Amino acid sequence: MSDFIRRIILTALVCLAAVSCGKDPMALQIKKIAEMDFLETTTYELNYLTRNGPSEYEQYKPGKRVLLYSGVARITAGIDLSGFSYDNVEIDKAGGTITVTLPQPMISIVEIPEDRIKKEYEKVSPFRSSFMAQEKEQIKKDFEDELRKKVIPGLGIEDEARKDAREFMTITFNALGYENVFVKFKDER
Amino acid sequence: MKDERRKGMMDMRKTIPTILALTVLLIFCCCSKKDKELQRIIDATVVNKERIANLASLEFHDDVLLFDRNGPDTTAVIIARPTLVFGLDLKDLSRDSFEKSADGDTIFVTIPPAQVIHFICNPQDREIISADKGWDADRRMKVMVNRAREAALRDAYEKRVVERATQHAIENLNKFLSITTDKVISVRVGEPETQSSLKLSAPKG
Repeated sequence: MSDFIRRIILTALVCLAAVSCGKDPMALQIKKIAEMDFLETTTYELNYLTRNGPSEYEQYKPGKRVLLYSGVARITAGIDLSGFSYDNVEIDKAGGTITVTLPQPMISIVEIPEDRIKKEYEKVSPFRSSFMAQEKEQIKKDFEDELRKKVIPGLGIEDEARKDAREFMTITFNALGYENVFVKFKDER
Repeated sequence: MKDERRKGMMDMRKTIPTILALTVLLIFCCCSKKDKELQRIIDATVVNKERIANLASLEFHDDVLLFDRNGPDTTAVIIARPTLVFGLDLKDLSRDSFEKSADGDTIFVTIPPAQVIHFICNPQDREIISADKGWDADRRMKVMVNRAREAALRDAYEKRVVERATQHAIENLNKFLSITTDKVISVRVGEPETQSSLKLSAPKG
């Protein structure tokens, strides 16, 4: 083999070694995932109407007495990725498989602007007494409670966030070359 | 002495083409790596476009108060609770939606703005607040659902839900692509490719 060819091969090998001896690419991806801090996967916006709840005693009274309030809410759920590290992934390079373990999804934002709670409808039949100012104020106050304790938990946003986070991680690691991506959640039964 | 100098000259003549050849090879490798990177991003996005479209969605739960008149003296007041799901229609996403900056460090992705991809209003999502005798619930409910859809669309535009849905989609796509590449990703919003099947057209009723 001539000197010329030998030199080319040697230099090419040195270049190849230099290029391939870079940082572990997965370390960079894991750092990027952790840097996202919180992955907001799922957002719901609500324009909610609530009415005065008729008591058991009220239903036996003649005529209707209805008061409706509306208000808006914005709820965001997702995954806290600030602690994401190598401990959260198991890689089987030969099989092109990665298993990612994520924390449980959580609701991160619940915004219910008080100034946007307003009366929408009021109807009192002639046999019934009108709504007193105090009663109206109480219904308005109960509005936020009802949203936080009854309506928002009933939306199933955390389940949706779990589904969305699983999907996000699957397409991300698929794009990084892993054919099989398994996503688990901590404390998942 | 003369022989050694000649040998040195001969070596130089061999070395210079070697260096030149390697430089050309390196430039070629770098350029093809850049193009491969762009192609990889395009493939990852286009192959997964349906899944990305679902990820980039926002739900708008809108309670709508509807007043109905069925005959001269027959009225009803109803709350309908429809849900509009805003998302991306990425069926037209293609290679042309991706562009590389002149320096090759930034990749621009153009997506359409968010639009309504689902409308949900089930029978359990309706509540009759008051109805006069003779108000035909079975017949009028279909009309009520259509009006609820129109009202919800109008609310979504008025409350700027569409803009926030688009922003949510941009953020999620940006996060996804930024993890998969070292390039800077810039997601832009272009013109809508197709109109939503749920148009905002009906008058307020």
